[in-house]
Amino acid sequence: MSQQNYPTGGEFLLRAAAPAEIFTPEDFDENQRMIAQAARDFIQQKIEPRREQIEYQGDTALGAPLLKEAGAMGLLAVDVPERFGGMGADKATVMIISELISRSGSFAVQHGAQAGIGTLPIVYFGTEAQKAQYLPRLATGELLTSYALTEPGSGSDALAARTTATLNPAGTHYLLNGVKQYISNAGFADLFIVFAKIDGDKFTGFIVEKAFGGVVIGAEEKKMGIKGSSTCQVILEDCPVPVGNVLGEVGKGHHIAFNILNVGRFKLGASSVGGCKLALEWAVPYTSQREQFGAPINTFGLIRAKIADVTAAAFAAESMVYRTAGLLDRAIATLDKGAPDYDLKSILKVEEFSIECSMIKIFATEAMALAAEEGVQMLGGYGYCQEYGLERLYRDERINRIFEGTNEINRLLVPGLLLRKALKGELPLLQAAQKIAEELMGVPEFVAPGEPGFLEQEAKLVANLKKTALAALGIAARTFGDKLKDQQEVLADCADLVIAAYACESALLRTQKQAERAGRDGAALMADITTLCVNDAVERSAELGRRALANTLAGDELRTMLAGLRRLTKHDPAPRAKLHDRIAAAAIAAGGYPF
Amino acid sequence: MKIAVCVKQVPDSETRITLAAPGPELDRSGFTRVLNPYDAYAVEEAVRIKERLGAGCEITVVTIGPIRAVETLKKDCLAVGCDRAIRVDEPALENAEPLQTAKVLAAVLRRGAYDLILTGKQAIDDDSAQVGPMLAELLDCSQATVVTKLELGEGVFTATCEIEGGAAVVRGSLPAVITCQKGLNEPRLPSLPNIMKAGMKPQETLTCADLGLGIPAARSRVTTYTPPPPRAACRMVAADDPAAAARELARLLRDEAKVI
Repeated sequence: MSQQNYPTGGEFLLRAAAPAEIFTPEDFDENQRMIAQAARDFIQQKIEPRREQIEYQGDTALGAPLLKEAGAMGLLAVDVPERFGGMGADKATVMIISELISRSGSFAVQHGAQAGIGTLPIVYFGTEAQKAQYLPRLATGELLTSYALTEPGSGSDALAARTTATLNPAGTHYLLNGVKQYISNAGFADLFIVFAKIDGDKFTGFIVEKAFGGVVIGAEEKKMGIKGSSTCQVILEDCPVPVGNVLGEVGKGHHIAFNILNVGRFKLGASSVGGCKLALEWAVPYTSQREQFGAPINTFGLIRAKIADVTAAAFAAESMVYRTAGLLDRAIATLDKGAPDYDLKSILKVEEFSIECSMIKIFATEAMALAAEEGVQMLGGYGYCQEYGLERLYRDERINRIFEGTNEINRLLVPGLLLRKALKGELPLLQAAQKIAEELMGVPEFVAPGEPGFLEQEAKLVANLKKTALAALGIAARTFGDKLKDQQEVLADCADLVIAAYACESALLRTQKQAERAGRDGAALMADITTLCVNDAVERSAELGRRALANTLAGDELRTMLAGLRRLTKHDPAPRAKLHDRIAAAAIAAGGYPF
Repeated sequence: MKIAVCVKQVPDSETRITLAAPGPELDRSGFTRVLNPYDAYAVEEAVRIKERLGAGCEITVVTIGPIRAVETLKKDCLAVGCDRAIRVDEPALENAEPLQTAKVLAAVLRRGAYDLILTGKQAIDDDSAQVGPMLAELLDCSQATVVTKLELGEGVFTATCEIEGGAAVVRGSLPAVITCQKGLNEPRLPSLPNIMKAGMKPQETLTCADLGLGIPAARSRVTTYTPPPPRAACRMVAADDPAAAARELARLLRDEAKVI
């Protein structure tokens, strides 16, 4: 286990956290609530009046003036250190803003490209001179920026980039040549964070000003969704970049790219939570007004089930996102804020949690996919029409599962990163997995019958979800060794087992924390949601575990382990319709997400 | 110049009010609270005057409300440029009627020699539009209501007031109470750094006793809140024969709906 005084990434699998340890939305302070409201006000006043122009006429150029208005309000300065005109806010605040800004639709992508991936490489990897030169103007929106990593031939395999950087004979400039693809904000950006290879192999980051020359912007892509967001190719033709604009170390561009992706992932997780809530806000009131067969459709069980399932998925995603924010803030708080390398050190703290970043990216984007899908379905024919926002949400949501690393790539990362930590001795995962395997082959413990306490069964099942994930991962690692990376289906199933454990534990701990604060009655709705989440996760984990084991073992060994798996996933099935009914009632009363 | 802005925290206009049964109480627990939108024009006008006049101009924002009103004071008043805040915390004044509010505000305002008192033309929760005029009477100063344009001179003001069917230009002496209407200005959004710093500005919390005031008596009380009647089901009139349909519609409107 880690020797640090804070829990590290992936450690949740091995250690039961106490409710008081985790950060939850119920812990937001007054400043965070005010900032959330200010972000809402911005959208209400600046985005809503231009909604038609942005989303349906695809006016991508509007992004530039809107970003400048956001800059004037400080909405671009959240992650920028205070000494460069920013707020240097904690990650919880960063995530709150991402969640709220997601309500703006296409603008959210432009905001993310500017304030997130376009600015953060300089915050974390820039020299003091580079920070002083660029950050104050990025924080206000005076300079608009973008992040140019992807190429026509390299997406998930980012390091296969073909853009080249060649030092000129005078040794003063690199000449950049190549094509970058799907670059958000490219249509109006003044600045591009570009990745290119020096001498054919040294993958390196550069800060490229459009004014350097040799930067040609392609036509706007015609996209399925986020139609108001500018997305173009960026063509570099002998673009001269001063050697002083190399970002980070030569040959260490991957370090920048992967770390920025981590931040992109947790922010996308937060914004997807915002998307889930928006879908509920639009769909639930409709189900109250729409009458068929003489009654509002939300009196019907199948509609109530949809409302409840989306609410539960949103709750679990939200719990994971803010728990992770708390983990990051706790880790970063151990650093000396006055140290000259504080910014770099803080991104390395985020890197410790890249497992959590990938998990919330996957879980939250898929929760939003469910929310958009069921939102459209609840509206029926109206949901299919542009007049209602859900049609747009349904299209816009789709990109979330593609960018910031596809969900497939992220699924490979979760077990991959866990095993890397295990091999480096940072997490004793394999020992724990071995213990579970022995336990499963031993005599089952006798459980005394009786009425379980508050969330007692759920707590036990969450512990078993972790054991299931650990066992599947451990058995796969033992069986395949270093060939495990070729077993993508096994890896993805293991990832889903790990994610299920993190999601359910986050929901459970949040509920327990609320019960400590507001009593069991005050946490009754959360408890219903937790019960539903855990029930469904255990049933799904039984299937995932079976699949992973069948792809890993054979014969007697498989049969023995399957018996063990049955023991871990044994539970009294929850009365789902009753839970759905109560959860939906709360969402209907609230006209949307009930928290 | 010393400016006071009187503000009220009100339920958001999108608040869903549910009423289980008619009665004297509303369940206000789930309400989202915001700055009264007309008060936002008053805050913005004060800040613009201060920006014009520069040093020597101070803005005090005053409200009556419980602790939750602090968020509104900070985010929507102090963070956009007001200098200090005074909040009267008096549970008995929750849902006060206009004269109670005006008396308490007048007591607060008498403690400072304000040249200009700005407030919204009405609050969007009880819609009384009475507090501003009452305040001017209690303080014995001039007033202009429903103002869409305001100019200040040496000890005087010129205000354009919206009146039925047109506008009236009112000149008066300072001190004065001005109630602000949409169109006066475009309120700015608070910046996030200013929101974070708002808590550092001076804030004073008072009770009626601190003001040397008994709690003003209410002269009326709400006896019952009732929800609007549910909408009746839609009746369709068959229109195979338009003339017959029109006759049937007219009959229904006269005999059943009794509206013609």
